[in-house]
Formats: sequence, C-alpha cells, structure tokens
Amino acid sequence: MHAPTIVEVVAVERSTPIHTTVSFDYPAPALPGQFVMVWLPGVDEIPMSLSRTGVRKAMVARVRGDATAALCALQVGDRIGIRGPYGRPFAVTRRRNVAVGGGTGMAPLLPLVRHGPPGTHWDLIVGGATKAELLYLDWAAAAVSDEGLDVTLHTATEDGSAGTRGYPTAIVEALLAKGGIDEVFACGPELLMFGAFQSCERHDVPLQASMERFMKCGFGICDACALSGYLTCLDGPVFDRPALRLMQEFGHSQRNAAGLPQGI
Amino acid sequence: MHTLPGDELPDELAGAVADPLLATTLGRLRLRNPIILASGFLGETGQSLVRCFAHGCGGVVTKSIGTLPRLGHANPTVVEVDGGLLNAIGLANPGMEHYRSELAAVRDAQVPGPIIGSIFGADPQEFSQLAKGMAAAGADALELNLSCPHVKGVGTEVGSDPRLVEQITAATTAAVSIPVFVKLSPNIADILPIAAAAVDGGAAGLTAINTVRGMAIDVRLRRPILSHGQGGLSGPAIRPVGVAAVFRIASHLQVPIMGVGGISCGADALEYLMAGAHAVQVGTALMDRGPLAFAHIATELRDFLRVEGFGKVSEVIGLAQGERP
Ligand SMILES: Cc1cc2nc3c(=O)[nH]c(=O)nc-3n(C[C@H](O)[C@H](O)[C@H](O)COP(=O)(O)OP(=O)(O)OC[C@H]3O[C@@H](n4cnc5c(N)ncnc54)[C@H](O)[C@@H]3O)c2cc1C
Ligand SMILES: Cc1cc2nc3c(=O)[nH]c(=O)nc-3n(C[C@H](O)[C@H](O)[C@H](O)COP(=O)(O)O)c2cc1C
Ligand code: FES
Repeated sequence: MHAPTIVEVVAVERSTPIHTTVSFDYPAPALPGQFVMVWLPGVDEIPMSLSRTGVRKAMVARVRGDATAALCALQVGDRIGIRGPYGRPFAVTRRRNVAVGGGTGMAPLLPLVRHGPPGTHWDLIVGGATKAELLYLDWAAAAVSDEGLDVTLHTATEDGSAGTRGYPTAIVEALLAKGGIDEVFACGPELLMFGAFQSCERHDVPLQASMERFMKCGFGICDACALSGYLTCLDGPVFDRPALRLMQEFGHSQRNAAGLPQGI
Repeated sequence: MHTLPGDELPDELAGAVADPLLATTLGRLRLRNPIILASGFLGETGQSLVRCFAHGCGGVVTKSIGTLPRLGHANPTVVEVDGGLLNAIGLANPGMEHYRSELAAVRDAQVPGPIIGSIFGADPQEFSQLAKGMAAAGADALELNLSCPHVKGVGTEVGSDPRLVEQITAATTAAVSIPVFVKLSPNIADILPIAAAAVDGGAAGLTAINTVRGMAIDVRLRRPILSHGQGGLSGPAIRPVGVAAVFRIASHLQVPIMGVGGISCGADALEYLMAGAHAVQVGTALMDRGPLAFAHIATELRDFLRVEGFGKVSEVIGLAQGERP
C-alpha cells in the first residue's frame, strides 16, 4: 500500500557537524540503493536513501531546505511517515569494486559495502569539503578492522585537510588508470557521478550510479522524476552505464516541481 | 518510433495493441486501439509520452497545461487508499511556453496515435490562448480540464457552471480547427446539464470522469495525509461512478465519449464501452499493473472480443444501453 506507515524515531545522531542520521524501525525488506518517501508532517514528503537496510533502518541528511531542516531537527519519539522502499537497488556481481560517495551520497554505499557478497574487495572513496565533514569515515575505518571487510579506504577533501586535496573523482580516475577494477558504484552530487561516468567511459569499466530527481509519487505514475525518458523512481534511482549514456539530461539539467528544466 | 533499450513489447502484447480488431475511431481521430493514457499520468515530459506508445497505448492525453509554470501543492501529493488513489498534485505543470518543446519531441518521434493536449484556465480567453498554443505545438485534439477553481464563484470549479462551460467550449472551438473534448467532473449533482452545455458550445466529444473529491486522515498524526487536505479519488472505487456518468450522457447526447475512472483490466474497459464510450483512458492502473498496463488491458479486451465473436471493438459501444431499465 502506497500510504505512509507512522513510525517513531528511535535514534538521532550528529554524524558530522553537518550530517544527521535518523533511525526508525520499519520491517519492510530493503536493499542498498533503494529509497523511502519520508513524510515530515506539516512540512513535506521527500525521498531519502536508506543508510541502514535491516528492520532498524536509518537515513542521513544535510540541511538544504525546509524538509531536510525538519528531518535534521527530529528527536527521539517524534512520529514520521514512511512508505516504500522504492526503486531499483545496486547489484553487486563482480569482485573488485570501487564505491565512491560524496556527502550524503555515502548513505546507500554504507549498506552496499557492508552487505556485499563475501569475497568482494572494495576501494571505498569518501569525499567531502573538509576532514570534519567526511561522512561515516569512522564507521568505514572500524569496519575494516572489526567486521573484517576487505576495504581499502581513500579520502578526498576540497581543502586538503584529509587525504587527497580535491574531488573524489580524481581518485576514481587514478584507480581505473591503474587497472584491475571490475565495477564502480557512485552516489553523491551529480557532477561527482558525471565525473565517475566519464572515467568509466574512458576506461570502459561498468558503473552504477544513484540519481536524484524531484519526486512526488515514488512509484512511477506522475512523471515528476522524469530523466530523459526514464523514471528515476521506477527505472532507477540506480542506473547502469548504458542507461546513463542515453540521458542527455545527466550532468546538465533536472526538473523542478513544475516539471521545468533547470541547470544542475 | 525510437524506444529505450528493453522497452520493446513481447510479441503477444505487440500483436494485441495493433490487432485490427481493436482499431477504431474517436470522432475524427483514428486509434490503433481504444486504450488512451489519462491526463496527469506520465505526461509531464514528451519522452515519457513516447514511452507510453512504446508500451502499447492507442493515444495519449498530456498533463493539464496552464499559461504559467505552477509548482502545485507541497508533498504529500498522492496517497493510496482502499480501492484507489487520492491525489492533490495541484495542477503542477511547466507552462505552455515550455511544454511546446515537450510536444515537439513527441511529434518528432512519429508516434502511432493521437496526442490530445489537456489545458486548464480560469476563463474563455485563457482557454482559447492555450488551445492555440497546443494546436501550434502539434496536438491532434484538445481536452479541456474544467476542474480549475473558478475565480468569481469562490470554492467552485469552472466545470460546475453550465454557462461558463458553454462559453469556454465555444471560445476554444472557435480558436482552433482540431477537435475539442471537454472533461467533466463528477463532483456535481447531475453531470448531464454540464455535458449538454459543452455540446452546445461545440465540443466534438466528452471525457468522463475526473476524480471524485475525497480525503484521507492519518489517525496517529490526527491530520489529513495530503498537504492540501482534500484531494481527488481515482482507481477502482470510482469505476461505478464513471460508468453511470458515461451511461447517462450516452443515452442523451450523440457525441463520442472517452470513459475514464478505475479501468484496470479488459472487463473494466468493456463496462465503459458498453455504457456508450468510444474509447477509454487509463491512469491509476499504472500503479498496480506498471507501464505495460495499456498493453495488458488491450490484450484482455481483444481476447474478450474474439471469444464473444465480435468483428471489431466498435460493435460493443453502447450495448448495455439496450438493457436500460
Ligand atoms: C532517490 C533519492 C534519494 C535521496 N537520498 C538522500 C539522502 O540520503 N540524504 C539527503 O540528504 N538527501 C537525499 N535526497 C535529496 C533530498 O530528497 C532533497 O535534498 C530534499 O528533498 C530537499 O528538500 P528540502 O525541503 O530540504 O529542500 P528544498 O529547498 O525544498 O529543495 C532543495 C533541492 O532539493 C531537491 N528536492 C526538493 N524536494 C524534493 C523532492 N520531493 N524530491 C527530490 N528532490 C527534491 C531539489 O533539487 C531542490 O532544488 C535524495 C533524493 C532522491 C531523489
Ligand atoms: C496523480 C493524478 C494526477 C492527475 N492529473 C490530472 C490532470 O492534470 N488533468 C486532468 O484532467 N485529470 C487529472 N487526473 C485525473 C485523471 O486523468 C483521471 O480522470 C482519473 O484519475 C480517473 O481515472 P483512473 O481511475 O484511471 O486514474 C489526475 C489523476 C491523478 C491520480
Ligand atoms: S516520482 Fe512519480 S513517477 Fe517518479
């Protein structure tokens, strides 16, 4: 039923100075890359990726406008509405993968790396403006040591306060140039994903990228999330390289709530 | 017609949507099958309309387009309820100036059926301007959405005032040479006087019905779910309302009717056709049956006609009128 289920917030955590992780119990099975529609009563209903996909689920936001501000201001015990999960998830079918995330784009990559098939190697690239804003870096570092995941951790900051100075796409390009990478998974600002796409095209490496477009229904009837003929909510949000290649709008334009194209 | 990879219909469905048994006419419009996309579904962008043809529909109605871009209501704008869907999208649309380029993309794709441009406005002047825009952009016909709030009669819709309906229809038909259909709201005591007013104004045909006013309240949050409070109900719950409306109109007026409201399968489409509709529109069924809903409904309709020994789909139009109590 595409109607909100009311859940109570069970935990709120300041994951970085600018990112808030909100947890709630919602039993519907979900896979990394899928999203839910989150009803913030009296404010808005917005799509959010899941950063935890078990019965206890979580999402992470940064304040962009009213809805994300309300989400980040939630307190334990507050009631919100959840429907979904929706959309096509990431699919891990190869062994040596790169996962590249910028900002809240880390959300679906966390469960992706954590629940990937055993024997998968990950080069995980965490990008942000500053060291303090690198999301889930502590978790990634802990996972490498405690959970025994086969992860090589890379970081990129715009100010150079940690890891490579600049954008995480530079690391993607360097890894692909070195060779031995089977597939790339990307989530984050569109220009990050577009950069990753260009590297994957250059080196002919498969890519899955999680796209964001304005959403209303979330289940494929309203056309709000139209993306060059595809529906982001139904055909995506995770798209592979052949589909991305057909999207004239990828990296260039997105539609607002009226359906009017605007620059990225 | 260009299609996205993977969008080609399986042979069985492809055969049905173009089966000569289903080929029909709607006034001057020729349809490969009588299953048409309803306004407000997948019609904000030209490329999505093209894709509906790839998925088997016989024609499309665009999203309702106004003069200026409108963001519509805040989310939640849709919520599923027992028997259907409630929505208060709030006539969000990119405005006619931009929409011309969307329709150009549909024209360029050389789709196998008519594009029916839906427009909404507040008065006859605005409707006739929009009609010219749609016609210039390449629409094969128009559908007037009269459920916009009527500025003078606060709280009521344009479509509940017979004089205004006649004036708007007359102004629009005078402005363009393509056929004009008028879409009727069920939120009125008797639909017939409005239907008659549209025909008096020169409408080539009618569409019935738009959504039925409704509301859903979340009891744990003690508030309406839609941000707008009230919304419009669509889906299976409103099918009897739509069938009754089409039956009543068809028994009094001699114009082609598009039946819409709660059609999810071939048998549902047949109810409307037998009530007197010449074609049907499908919207909410996309929720449960997905993008291939058109092709599945067309296949079920074709199979019924074969089994029952009909030679073409037009033979069933109005059959139930003979059984009038
Ligand atoms: C599949 C998907 C997954 C997402 N996952 C996350 C996530 O994990 N964390 C996160 O912080 N953000 C995520 N977003 C983006 C998030 O939905 C928007 O940032 C949020 O809706 C902004 O609302 P606002 O009121 O705070 O900002 P506004 O000021 O209203 O808008 C800021 C921008 O956000 C976008 N936006 C606004 N409303 C919507 C909407 N209904 N649907 C889509 N985009 C919208 C628009 O681009 C707009 O320009 C995701 C979006 C999608 C489509
Ligand atoms: C989300 C949504 C948006 C709609 N938008 C429009 C619209 O813009 N113009 C219009 O004339 N009807 C609109 N309708 C009404 C439909 O075209 C149709 O009349 C109604 O949904 C009944 O058909 P159905 O049960 O097959 O959905 C909308 C309906 C829904 C659910
Ligand atoms: S959000 Fe409505 S079709 Fe994707």
